[in-house]
Amino acid sequence: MVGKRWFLVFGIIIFLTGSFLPRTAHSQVQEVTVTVEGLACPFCAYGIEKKLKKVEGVSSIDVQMEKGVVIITGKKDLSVNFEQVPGAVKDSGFSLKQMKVRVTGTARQDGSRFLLQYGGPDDLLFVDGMKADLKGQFSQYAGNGKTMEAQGIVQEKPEGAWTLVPESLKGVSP
Amino acid sequence: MNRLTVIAAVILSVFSTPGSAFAHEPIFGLGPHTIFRGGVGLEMEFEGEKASGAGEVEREYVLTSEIIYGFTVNLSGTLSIPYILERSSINQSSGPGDVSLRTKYRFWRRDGVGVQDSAAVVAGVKLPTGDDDKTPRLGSGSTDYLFALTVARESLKWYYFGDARYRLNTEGGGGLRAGNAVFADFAIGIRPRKTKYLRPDLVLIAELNFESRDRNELSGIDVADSGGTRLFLSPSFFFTYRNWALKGGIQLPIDQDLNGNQLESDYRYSLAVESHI
Repeated sequence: MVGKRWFLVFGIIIFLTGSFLPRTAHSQVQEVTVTVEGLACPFCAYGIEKKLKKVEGVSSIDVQMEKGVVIITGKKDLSVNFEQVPGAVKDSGFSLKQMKVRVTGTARQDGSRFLLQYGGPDDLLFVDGMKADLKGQFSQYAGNGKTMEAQGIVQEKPEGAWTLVPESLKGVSP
Repeated sequence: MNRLTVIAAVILSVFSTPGSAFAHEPIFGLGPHTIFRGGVGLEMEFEGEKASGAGEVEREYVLTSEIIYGFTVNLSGTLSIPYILERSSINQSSGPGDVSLRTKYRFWRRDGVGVQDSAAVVAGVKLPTGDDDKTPRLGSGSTDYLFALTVARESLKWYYFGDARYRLNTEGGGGLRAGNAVFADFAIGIRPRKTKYLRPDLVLIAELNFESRDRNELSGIDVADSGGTRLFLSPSFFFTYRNWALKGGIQLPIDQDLNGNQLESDYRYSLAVESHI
């Protein structure tokens, strides 16, 4: 009975620490490039710096006013929680047009579905909209289970899942 | 009508500037800017004014502290606490002025690359916290209301602002009610040199500020020497670095059509430091 209770407590601790600790791994989102509309003055852009710096895993941000682009760089060995970026941009008073990520992860193929696992078991990106050559390359990485780096656009689907439309793929040495 | 009451009425007419600007906005007009959600803006503003006529001179120097809070990205609230350093005509007085509370709701926004169009409504109340027994009085002794509509286009190079404001005044101490007032402002700004984030940024602004005030009333009777219209041309600037801003400007009268015998405004100026945290 006592053992069962301790097992339960231990399970809860594992669950909680797993939920709240930052995502750490060699597989991670290292850089997020956000196209933002409405950035018209540096003073106003402070709001976006402030909000984006609160996003989990962010080390620094570079606001490029003329291009309307904000480049978010992740902390070493920490994954940028890109899912928090749209809310941060909205709260700073601008419009998010597009979000691109540079992500390292493991390619997976489940039938006709392509997935990129970039952290724990729940850190999955559904890979979609690939051109034929990239699809072939992705299948190859999925077949040999190697770590790869992908760059592309991420979008949130209405049901809450995130998709990645890769623009480039390359193998990464472990 | 005694002389002191007339002086009070005149001073109410002259020294009742419409409230300081916020963020990247005209200095004397009003813009639709709101602060980011949960953001706090702190501002310290120094305002001065001189009015003269018929051998008389009136001066005023006010230091105003403002705190701005972003309830949402489109709704902000501002608390404004003035301290009158000197208000002088025949006599001189100083002390806390009338505290005001304003809320701004940005109801429309359209974003593009390097450009933002927006519009907002503003509602405010000025409370009778200033001493209205002193001479000259430091507060109107009345609770007054402000309503405004403002629109703007901001881009990396050019700025355009327009607003219309209405101030509804109620009866204060001694049965005196300052006349209601309408303000209309137009401003155009230019960033002479495009800048980058985390670099100093300068915007030069030219404002046209129009104001029309009804006659003051004393116990329900119009005060003849009060009310009228004024038009100012106001060169101003806005200098920022990251979350710090230094801004200022001067209002120069280009036309004054005042009822009866009143002092004419010679100039007004403002210099402020603002930070967003």
